Amino acid sequence: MTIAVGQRIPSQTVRVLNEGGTEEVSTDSLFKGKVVMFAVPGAFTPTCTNQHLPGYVKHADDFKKKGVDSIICLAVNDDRVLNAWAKQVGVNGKVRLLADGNADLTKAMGLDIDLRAGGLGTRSKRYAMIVENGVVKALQIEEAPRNCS
Amino acid sequence: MTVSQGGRAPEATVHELGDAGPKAVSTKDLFAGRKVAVFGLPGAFTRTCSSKHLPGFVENAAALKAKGIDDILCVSVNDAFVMDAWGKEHGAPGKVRMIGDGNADLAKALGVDRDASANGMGVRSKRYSMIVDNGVVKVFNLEPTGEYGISSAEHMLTQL
Repeated sequence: MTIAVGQRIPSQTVRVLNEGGTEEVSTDSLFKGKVVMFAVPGAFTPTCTNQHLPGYVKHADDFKKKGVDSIICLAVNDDRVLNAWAKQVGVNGKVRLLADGNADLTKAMGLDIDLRAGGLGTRSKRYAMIVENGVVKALQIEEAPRNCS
Repeated sequence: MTVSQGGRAPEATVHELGDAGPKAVSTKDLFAGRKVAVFGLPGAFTRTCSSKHLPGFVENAAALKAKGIDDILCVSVNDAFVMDAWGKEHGAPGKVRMIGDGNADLAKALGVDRDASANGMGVRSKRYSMIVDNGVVKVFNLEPTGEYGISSAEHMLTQL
């Protein structure tokens, strides 16, 4: 079942990219404070590369001014691919990348999508959520993976 | 079961990035009527692959083609977008075709799939190379886990 407003982010260990490399952290510590998380179906895919991630990088300071402690971008890719993508986009530490390579967190939140037809296997739907101390306060899921609004 | 030398290459659908996005292509079509060098690896942008495996085939593409290879395919359990981006970073266009086996269908059909979920990579492929002549596997080189040698372009040149 898809996670809903008012529910907690499932407790899991996830991989997050830091400047020094990949760090394993629990979602309990990752979602402390006010966090904006958005997800993309894949690194290096056109919509994500051209609009979604750069949009958050560009407005990162505006989010911080509105009380957001951190911005997280989740993708069902491994950490090496996300690291290469972050460099190409020029993330510069403004957005934290969460490599959900096994799709464990995505499946636990019911936000997985079957993209086998395009040769992408299981991925994440495109969405954005606001999380406060682990609880989902707002969630917007895009209808089609190619959309970005 | 792992594919064997002398047997037919299995049929699977893989994807290559085209102008309109990932294009599905059957291995049957990729291998029909030609001699193809294939190398498979655990992941785009990973260390051994980035520093040795793909660059080795890009560098030796002309030498392999001079020895009768019609096409060189780099295959990984990544999607076509990632494969294309990684290939461009290493000068693959025109030399090595970047093939995404994002559903791991080919890796499983070849019997070279492995569970890499402990590293957050889901199901991936073991490192290997093979020479497929008109659909028949003539040479198959499977690397022991963590090793890199017999699947290299340099080694394949000695097998042609």
